[in-house]
Amino acid sequence: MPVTVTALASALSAIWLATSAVAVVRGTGKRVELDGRKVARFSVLCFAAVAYVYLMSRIGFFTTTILVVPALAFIGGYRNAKVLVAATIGFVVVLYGVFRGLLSVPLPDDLLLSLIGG
Amino acid sequence: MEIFSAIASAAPGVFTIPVIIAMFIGTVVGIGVGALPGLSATMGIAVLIPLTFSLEPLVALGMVAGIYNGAMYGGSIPAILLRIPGTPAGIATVFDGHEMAKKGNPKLALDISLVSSSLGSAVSAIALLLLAPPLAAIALKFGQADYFWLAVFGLTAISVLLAGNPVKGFLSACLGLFVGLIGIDALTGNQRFTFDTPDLLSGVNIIVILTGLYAIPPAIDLMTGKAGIAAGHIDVSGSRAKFPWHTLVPVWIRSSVIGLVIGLIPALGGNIAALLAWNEQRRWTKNPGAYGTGEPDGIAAPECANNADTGATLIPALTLGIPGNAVAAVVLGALLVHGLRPGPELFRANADVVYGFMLTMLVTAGFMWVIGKFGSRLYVNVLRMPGKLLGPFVLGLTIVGVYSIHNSMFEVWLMLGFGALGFLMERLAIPTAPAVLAVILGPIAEESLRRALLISGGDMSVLLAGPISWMLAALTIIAVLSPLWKAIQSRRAARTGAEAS
Repeated sequence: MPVTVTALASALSAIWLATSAVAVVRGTGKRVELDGRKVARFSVLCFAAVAYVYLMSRIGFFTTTILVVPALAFIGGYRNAKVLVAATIGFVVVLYGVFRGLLSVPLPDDLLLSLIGG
Repeated sequence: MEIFSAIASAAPGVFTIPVIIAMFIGTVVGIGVGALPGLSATMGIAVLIPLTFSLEPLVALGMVAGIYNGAMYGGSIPAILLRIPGTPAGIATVFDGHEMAKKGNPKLALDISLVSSSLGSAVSAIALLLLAPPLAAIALKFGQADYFWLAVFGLTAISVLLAGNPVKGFLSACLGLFVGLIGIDALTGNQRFTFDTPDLLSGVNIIVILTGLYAIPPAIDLMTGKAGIAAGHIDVSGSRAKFPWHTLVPVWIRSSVIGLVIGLIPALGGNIAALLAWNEQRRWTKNPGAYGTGEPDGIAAPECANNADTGATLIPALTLGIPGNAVAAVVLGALLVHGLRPGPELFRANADVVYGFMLTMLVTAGFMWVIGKFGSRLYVNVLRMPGKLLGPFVLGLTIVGVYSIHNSMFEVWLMLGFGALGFLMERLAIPTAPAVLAVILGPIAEESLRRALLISGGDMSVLLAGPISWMLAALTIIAVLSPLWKAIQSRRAARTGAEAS
């Protein structure tokens, strides 16, 4: 089975490569144009998402959420600061209630909770 | 009679406070998820499954039923009010729904959509309750070779039908087959693609790949502003027009049948059912020219059909363990998380849970009507929710949800990796559904093939020993050859067109 799947995937990739090459030579392929600003914003968002997961294991989920969620929304282009702060706090409170209070999930040690004695 | 006694035995479990609350919350969330463009029932259930991990199976499944039914109706709200379908299944509702809203009757359009959706869901749930148990009894007669062909047929049909380019569909299926192979081989005990990583020894959890592929790409789209809408002032008051009950009854009957039949066929979904129902309704009427101008039948037909599809899609999924589309695969994922293995045995071993789940599909159809009737203004506010704010919340919820399954950071990283892969696949027009289905169907096909060969002592003819195997093998060949047939037909049509001009 592993050999069959690998062989099949390789054959399909080869077919796709060949048809794409033919399309490029004939000029019938779809032209991909990248907007530099959008690519930069996308890259920063991806970096922030990776940082979210990394920081979660270091300083805890709730602390990371308070830092990263507003940052992600800001990078995305959201600028209403009051709504951003209120929504983030509300989101963290709801998650705390569900995951700590209701489900008792043992999340990584949290910096913020240890500071406020939670 | 056995079916009715099983239903009666499961009913008390459904009408308990936790299950009722779960169904209510699921329906409220489902309508909201469906109303927001960029979010779908598949994504809603995928995000929710990890959160329901520690709940009782029926409580979790009640919530899943609510989301599934609710999202189908929710998609019609922006379709009617803003001309933007919230889900693909809401596309056909735009044609007449938005026109009726523009004429000053948004409330009537929403009411027709709500009643039609609720009726479609109820018919679908009843069909699920009545058809699934006999089909499960038939499935018990399936041999190992039949199961092998069934899995191969399901995978082939979905790979071919879901992708514009079948090569990309099969490539996606290969990715899923590869993921399904990871872990310890159950028959030989050998490690496969584990790369000496202890976290991979038990394989990749289906929920990790589901949330990665279905929750992360929409979250990225929301954050980058590709999804979501800028809804300004929306008026849902409208005139007090009379609800056209008498003219809609035949429309509901016809559309329910269309939705049920489409739901049973692999790879088709609510969007196909809705478009087909709208078109059939136009063909049946004496005044087809009125369609697309705000005709009540033109709203009722697609909304009834796309909801009638929901329960029907689950019939092959629950009875055979073969999901016909992405949302059925996600529902199977929800069952697997709670230790319930879909297939004919499920109806024997966990009758109360499976019948209870089917009953929740029926009850949530009623909840949907109540919530939609009294909460339409609330959902108009949901449309105003900024996507750039919602995206990070979806990401956060997904991360903590996946972590909570096994308290594993490795699975969170894996989910993020699948998310990136899913985003890339979407940009390359590679469908993600065949990959998810292959994760479920691949191991079924492999296990059945190896068992059939073990029993026959390696004799390959066992694969075509029975009529069911023959039929499924023939259907698989037809599915593989269908793109060729389509290409020949379109080339012939183009040539005829060129000659005519």
